[in-house]
Amino acid sequence: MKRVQRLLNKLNGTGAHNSLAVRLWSIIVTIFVLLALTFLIAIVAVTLNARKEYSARDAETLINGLTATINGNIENYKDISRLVMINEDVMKYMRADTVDAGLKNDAIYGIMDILLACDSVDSVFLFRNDGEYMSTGKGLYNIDTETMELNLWKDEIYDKRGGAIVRMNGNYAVFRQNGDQIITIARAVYDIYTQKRTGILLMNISTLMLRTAIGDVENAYVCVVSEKGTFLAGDRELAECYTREYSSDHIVHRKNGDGKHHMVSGYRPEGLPIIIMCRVTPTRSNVPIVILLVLLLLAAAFVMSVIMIASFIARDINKPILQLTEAMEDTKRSGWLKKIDVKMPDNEIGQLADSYNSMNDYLQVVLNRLIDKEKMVQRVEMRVLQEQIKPHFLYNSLGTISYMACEAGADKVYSALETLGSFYRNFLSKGDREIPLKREIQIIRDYLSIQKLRYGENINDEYDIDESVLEIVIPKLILQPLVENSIYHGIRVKGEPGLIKISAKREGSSLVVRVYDTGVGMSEEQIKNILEGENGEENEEEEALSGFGLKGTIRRIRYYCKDDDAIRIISEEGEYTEIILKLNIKNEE
Amino acid sequence: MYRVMIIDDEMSARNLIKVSVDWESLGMKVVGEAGSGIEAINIIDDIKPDIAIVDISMPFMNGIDFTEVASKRYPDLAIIIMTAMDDFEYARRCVSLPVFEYMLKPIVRTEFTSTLSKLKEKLDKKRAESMHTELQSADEPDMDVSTIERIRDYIERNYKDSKLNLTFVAQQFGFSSSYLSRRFKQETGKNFIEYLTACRMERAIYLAGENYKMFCTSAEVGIPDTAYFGKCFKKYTGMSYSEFVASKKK
Repeated sequence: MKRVQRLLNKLNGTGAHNSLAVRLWSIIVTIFVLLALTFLIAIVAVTLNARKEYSARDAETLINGLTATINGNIENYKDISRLVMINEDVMKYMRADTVDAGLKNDAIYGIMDILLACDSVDSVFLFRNDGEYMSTGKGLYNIDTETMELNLWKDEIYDKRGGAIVRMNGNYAVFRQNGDQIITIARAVYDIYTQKRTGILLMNISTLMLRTAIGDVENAYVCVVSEKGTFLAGDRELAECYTREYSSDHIVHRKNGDGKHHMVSGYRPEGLPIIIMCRVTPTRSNVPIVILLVLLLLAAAFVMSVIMIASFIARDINKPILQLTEAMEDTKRSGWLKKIDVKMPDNEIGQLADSYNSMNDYLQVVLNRLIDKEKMVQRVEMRVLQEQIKPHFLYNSLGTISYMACEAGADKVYSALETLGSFYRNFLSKGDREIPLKREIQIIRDYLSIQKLRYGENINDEYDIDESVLEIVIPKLILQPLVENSIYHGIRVKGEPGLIKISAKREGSSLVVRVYDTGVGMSEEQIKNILEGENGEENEEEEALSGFGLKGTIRRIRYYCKDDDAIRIISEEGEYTEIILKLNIKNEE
Repeated sequence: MYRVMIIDDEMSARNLIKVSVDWESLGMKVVGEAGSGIEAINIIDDIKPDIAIVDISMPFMNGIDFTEVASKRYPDLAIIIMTAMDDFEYARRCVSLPVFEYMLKPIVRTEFTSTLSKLKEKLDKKRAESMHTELQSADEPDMDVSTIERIRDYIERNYKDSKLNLTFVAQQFGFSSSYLSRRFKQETGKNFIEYLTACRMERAIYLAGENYKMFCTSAEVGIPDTAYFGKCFKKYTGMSYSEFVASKKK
């Protein structure tokens, strides 16, 4: 699954955030799978249904045809039986009060004449009213006289008057000894002259008649069974599918439980004790190709539309959203509120980009307001801080003490106080953030002369300041911390007399200031640590403890110049350190 | 030799300025000092300074107010304003004033000296230019006794105005201050300032008798600077204000 996801991501050429595209593709794949399944099911269903209908129709045709043939044959035999009935010799036999062998033989010959042309007639039985009977034909028979004499059966025959009824095996009273099934046409015999009923005629027809009727059938299995399901003719296997349900006056189609689920149709022709069954084998011709083609066409159209929708989503929605996202990410990476300048389509997504841009504008406004507010708060806090320092009080006190020193003839004290006063006056500078270079230099001079008072001859200072750069405005207190660093981490550590040299000159549009000291120097690692040391928050506490510190100053310089290379450090361990500032000149006074 | 007047409410600050600068080598001399703008207005006609070094933050009348008054009455007076940083708002107000230089406190001798020498150059130049014009404009309108009377009357009606002084009155009546000063002395036998102070002190004596507190009296008579008022009162009556009030009660 993951691989698929990766593949999809790769396809879209984007990262894992692109879940919309993944969703899109998975939906498309799902649609395709569903479509294929539906199509298959539809094909199978349509084909099966069509086959079933074809089979049923074929079966009906077949059964109807066969029924007609059999009915015709039966009618034929009925006519023959009538011929037998009206045969002179037969009538004589039936009319005679008493029977003798002569009459019998005459009748037999009369019947034989008639039956000569009929293969299928096995035998003919003639029962006289007095119970005498005669028979002619092939084979040996057992006659169940009791059943024969049953009133019901006779009544049925008599009710037909001149008509005939058809029964299996003489209504189960006459059986061939070899077990062959026979179809019996029974009718009452009337004397043609007297119109008196003289007996009953049974004409037994062998199953050969059925076999001939069935003949050769293509693409189908056909069989005929008796009303009790006994096999008569045709396909013997099919006969085993018989159930009572086929004994119906209309054609019944059933799925058969023979394990193969073939459809078997069955029908009992009216007035006949037989059931015709058939199973049509499917052929290629009954696959509904037109319907399948239509289905295929529909499926193709559907696939096309899915692809179109997918490509629309991919091209007109997904891609612009990706571009939008990328543009927004770009903004995030840049750290500024940047507008989206990628060309967007002129639709809802374009509007989204526009809204984003206008939101950006608004954010910028809010941000500026916040910044202004923050600046104001800072200014106020600065004022409060300065208020706490109370420079006026400090200066006036220094003035008074200076006079006292002066009066007492302590000139050195007076000088020191004067320097201190000057230092603080420049150091505090009315809270200005930027001051001319000359005042920063003055701060350093005062600072160093006070430090020199503290550390005696250990520090010497030299200045090489170009006249033209004196008025250039720089952020306040960016040099003094460097000098302080030189003293505390350079010269004092070394324990030898040291030199601090400040030089400043113009180089192109930049002011280059060098703070050089002959202290212990720094190792490459230290320099790297100072210049590249993490500007993280964790340092702030440390800085707060050690004053504003070198790192804080470096950060201020970089911030002021908006350039990380504004400050460089050159050093040789044990020899010297030189910090070089390259400040872009903003304005001169 | 230029005459320098130092106006600062802190005595040590005035003293520091006096001792920390080598005035003589600059061709200058500190001829007077005042503890407030009020005192300065009162004594400036006697001292006649060329240069005034004025601290901005002073009680009763601050350096700005003083500068505004003085620059109108003494157009030739060069004013240097001293300021500590938190006086920045004041300093902004006096940008429009004709001030020679603003100096930051605490003073640094080198800066201070260089400013003063620049000022000296400017004054030297100006003095050389005005040599001739001054001689020519000596004619004054005659001042008769009735005018003096009118001036005395004016003083008696207006002594409550703390900014009243000789030069102001002279300008009001259209005379030069030196002429007015001379004529006034001739006619009344008193200096202008002596006369003005006497008026104020007589009123103060009366108010002291009415048991007024000193700061009320001093404001009432036009010398709201209580320190200077005390000084004047003692000089006039020989007693401090509290002593005077106590003696009256007995």
